[in-house]
Amino acid sequence: MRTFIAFLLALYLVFFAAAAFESFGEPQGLGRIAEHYAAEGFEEVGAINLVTAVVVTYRGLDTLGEVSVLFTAASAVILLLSVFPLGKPANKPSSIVLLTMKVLPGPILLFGGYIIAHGHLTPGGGFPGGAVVASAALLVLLGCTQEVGFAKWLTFAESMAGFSFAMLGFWGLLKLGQFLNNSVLFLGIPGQLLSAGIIPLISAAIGVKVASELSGILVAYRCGGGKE
Amino acid sequence: MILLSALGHVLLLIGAIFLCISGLGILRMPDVWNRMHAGTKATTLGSIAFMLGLGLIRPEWLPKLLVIALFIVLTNPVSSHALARAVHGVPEEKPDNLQRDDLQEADS
Repeated sequence: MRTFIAFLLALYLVFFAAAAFESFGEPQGLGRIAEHYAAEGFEEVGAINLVTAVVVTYRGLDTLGEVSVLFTAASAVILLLSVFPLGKPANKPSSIVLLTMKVLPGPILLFGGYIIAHGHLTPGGGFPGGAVVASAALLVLLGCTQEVGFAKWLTFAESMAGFSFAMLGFWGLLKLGQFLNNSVLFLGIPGQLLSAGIIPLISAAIGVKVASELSGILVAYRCGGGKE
Repeated sequence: MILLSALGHVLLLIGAIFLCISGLGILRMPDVWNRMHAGTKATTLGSIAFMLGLGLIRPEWLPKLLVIALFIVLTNPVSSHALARAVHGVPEEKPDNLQRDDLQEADS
């Protein structure tokens, strides 16, 4: 009986749902706002990567909120782990992990920094770059048994990054009367590393924030929380 | 040039087959050790074949792809090794027909 119902459901999904979705059809060109982003975004923002331009400047206020959501989630995880600690890891790290820990974090950090710094030029930016940097922190945490030195700096780096993101927004508000206006810094020549106004700075702030939050979660998992 | 491209496509196919078998193994294998074997060993070979195949089709991408392949060679075995050692500490995952446990002796 259950197989029969599942079969009917699958049949429905394959035929009827597909037919229902077909009537929506292909999108007929861009919407009004997307049209503006595509046509004027390059001139207004000076970033080659329009996705970053939309995320960081046009929808910059949303991104600021998004970063706060991430902060709330990280705080909640760390709070839960400090109330219900997981206990110390049982095994000592093996020599293979220890060797990898000495070799790999450097290249991983370099790559993460590259992704953050080229946020306005290539796909990437603060969020993925910060996650890559945090993966280097995970490697360091896997290989060590005692407390790590960078753990106490994470909260500081995280608050400074959030503070500077908001301050960059207020800079635009004071100078040009618009929160997160991108033209407060020189736009430069599009395609160069130092161009596109405050996008690289905001990318760096997001990257530091994401990296320190994710590393904070990892430190809490490894060391049983209670550090923040 | 056509020969290289054809070889590249063959390598892509081999890589895709290995990755597919690896995914199937993660779904079908009975316990964590077997699943780990399927999920890490086969993906190392599959990804490297994929990178090499792409590199043969587009020779200008080859240096970057080789760096990625090197990164996979360095990380994938190490992560499976760390996973295996972590699972070794969990008594419930010990196989019933285990005859001899060198790691247990080395740790104790």
